[in-house]
Amino acid sequence: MSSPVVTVRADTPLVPAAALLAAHGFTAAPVLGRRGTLIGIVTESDLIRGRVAPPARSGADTPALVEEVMTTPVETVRRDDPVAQVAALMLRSCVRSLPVVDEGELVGVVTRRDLLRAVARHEETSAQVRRRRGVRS
Amino acid sequence: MPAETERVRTDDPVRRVMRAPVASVTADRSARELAEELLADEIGAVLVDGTHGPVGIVSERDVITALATGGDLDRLQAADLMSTELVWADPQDAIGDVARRMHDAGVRHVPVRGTSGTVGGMVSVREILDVFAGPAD
Repeated sequence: MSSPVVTVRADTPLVPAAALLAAHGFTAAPVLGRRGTLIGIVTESDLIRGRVAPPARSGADTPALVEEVMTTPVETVRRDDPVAQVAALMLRSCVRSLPVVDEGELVGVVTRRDLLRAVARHEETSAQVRRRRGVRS
Repeated sequence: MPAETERVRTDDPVRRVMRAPVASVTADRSARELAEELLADEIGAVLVDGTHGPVGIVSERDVITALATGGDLDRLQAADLMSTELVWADPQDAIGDVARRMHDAGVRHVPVRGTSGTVGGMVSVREILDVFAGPAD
């Protein structure tokens, strides 16, 4: 997973949100609500769709916001979840990244590329990851 | 034709943002080897070579699906995982038109035709995002 996490606020317009993703080289970012809690995830595809086909609504003279194109609610995973389980959740939720939450706190983001890296390293279980790192399970 | 230093616009030809050369694999490469290939090239998809040109495309999503469904990643091959319905673009197609085609077809990678039946490049949703994320017109 990637950590620390780059997040966007739900009331961020699409253009600066896209610029933030591009600047960090990320494909998605967790979305925080006005109270700072995790409420969704927004991807580069969501942002493109918002620009190519803006969401239908009244008040079209104001820019579209992240909250109008994000995926919500968002599923989360834990650090020790097996990668196959994370992969299945990504597919079921139609997302390419999932927030990693530890005791209610956002600690990272796991992406499809992270899963590919695990596959390439033959690390499909957390026990295999610990072995590579020299940590006893 | 605009100078290369000018900002790319959505009505510019897709050849301005396509990536070349394009990675390709043979149909007998394993899912794990595909994961390695996708990571090494920092791309989201590779073309699968046939006798007379590409016969399919394997994306990150296809490898993730194999992982999620518990497939044997050393036995499953590119031929088992690939999508055979390729969405093509011509190098002079407008970036905005290619974006809509990608959205309508639900694909994230579009090969771009080269000369005399060859593949000239590939454009992904990432390159398109960079164009749409630019300053508003």
